[in-house]
Amino acid sequence: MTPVCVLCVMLIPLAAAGLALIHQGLGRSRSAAHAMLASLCAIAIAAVVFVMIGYAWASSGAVHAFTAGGVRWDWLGAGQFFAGGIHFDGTDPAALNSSLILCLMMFGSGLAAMVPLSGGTDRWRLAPACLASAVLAGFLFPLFAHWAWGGGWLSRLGETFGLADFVDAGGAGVIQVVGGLMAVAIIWIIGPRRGKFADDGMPAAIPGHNIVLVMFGCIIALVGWIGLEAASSILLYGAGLQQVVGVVVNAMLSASGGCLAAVAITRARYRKPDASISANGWIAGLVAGSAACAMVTPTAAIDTGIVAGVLVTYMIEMAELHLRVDDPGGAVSVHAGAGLWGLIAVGVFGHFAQGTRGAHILAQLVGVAALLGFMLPVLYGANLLLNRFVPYRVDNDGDWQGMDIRELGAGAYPEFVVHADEFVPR
Amino acid sequence: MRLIGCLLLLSGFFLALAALVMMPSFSARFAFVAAALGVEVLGVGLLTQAYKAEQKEQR
Repeated sequence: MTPVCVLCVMLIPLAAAGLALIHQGLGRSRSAAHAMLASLCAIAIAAVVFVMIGYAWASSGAVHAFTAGGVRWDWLGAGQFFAGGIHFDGTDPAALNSSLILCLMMFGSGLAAMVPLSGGTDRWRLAPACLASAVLAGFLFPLFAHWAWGGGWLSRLGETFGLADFVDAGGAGVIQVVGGLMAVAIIWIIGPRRGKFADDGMPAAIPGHNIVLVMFGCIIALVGWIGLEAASSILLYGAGLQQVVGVVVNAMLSASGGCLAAVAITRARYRKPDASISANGWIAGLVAGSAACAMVTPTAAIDTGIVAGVLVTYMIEMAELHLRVDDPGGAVSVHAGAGLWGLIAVGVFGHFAQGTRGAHILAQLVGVAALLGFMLPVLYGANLLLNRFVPYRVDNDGDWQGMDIRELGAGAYPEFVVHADEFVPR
Repeated sequence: MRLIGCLLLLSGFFLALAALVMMPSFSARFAFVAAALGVEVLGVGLLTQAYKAEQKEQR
């Protein structure tokens, strides 16, 4: 399985490429170059910080643990910093698995760091975005990655409490929900773009500037997602070749279910399908399906995707209309909302050799409780603290000018006609 | 309001852990974990209200 696994790991950066295209396409043209550069910087910083620091805390093997209530709580890895102990020189064949897991988690931390960028599009400054990515990849992502993937307490619920183990085969919780909850925190801190909400709270439509790139990003992301799900299923859950083929089929089906559900709903409600919501439905299907990718039937994958597509369509509307959340890329609904549904769907649809259906659902609910109850306040608190030292939001002039001119000094499309409102504060 | 929201979230998390440790039967555990999620939803609701109030003030 090793060559297949290496190939799958090498496909993961395509998921990042797809997300980057989607983020910049759903933002305004005056911030397009900034969005792409922020994505590159987030992946780059996440990779460096994760390999230097994060992997030591995410890895299995040596761990920090304490005993409470007669139970041993394995809460953080205690490996060597700077990826010590992992050899890439081929002298230790047994180290190949560890090095592939390092590679998988390194890309995973980059994906998690990219998700909040789409929530903060058009107003989140580059320097604090880089700083937040470093904190996420260095400590917060590794914490939950250890709990779910590194042999931590969450992945041992079966052994410790006689339940079933928490399952997140493709990173729906570890990568997507953690990134999505970070996006929630960022949006709460920086607020909406100027002009997004009128005085009476009614949202104005600020359409994405390049829907073609968004759609292309969806297809690119599918390939990366297949790599991500297949690699994590093999490395962390011992999937065989037959199951990897199932992962590919299920990824395609859940994305299709999500997209078609969003197309149908927007067609029914607005008379014409909405391209950006349908693209979000596609990604939501991928996100939700990734939790159970190797453990469900194709029918269940379609159902998971359909529910995710329906959920996202209504969540996007609810977030704008009722919660006054300005989330240009749909990070909250697509990554956090669909990711949480995906985790629950593992318990509902998954087929397992051991444990009752109820035990699996309960284990997944404990994982959801850990993400909402522990990761969200920690992510929010950490970003509030960072915002005190490095203000996250661009000033009002920068908001109207666009992030390209304000932060990079040049626009992404210099030959475009400048819109009249571009430099005029309203 | 923000602080109380965060505390509610953390309370929900620890309630879920306590249910695993202290409750003997599956149904009691399930009920307590569901209650813990309810507490967390309240926490998210409070944080959302705090955000909306802040936005209203800024306008």
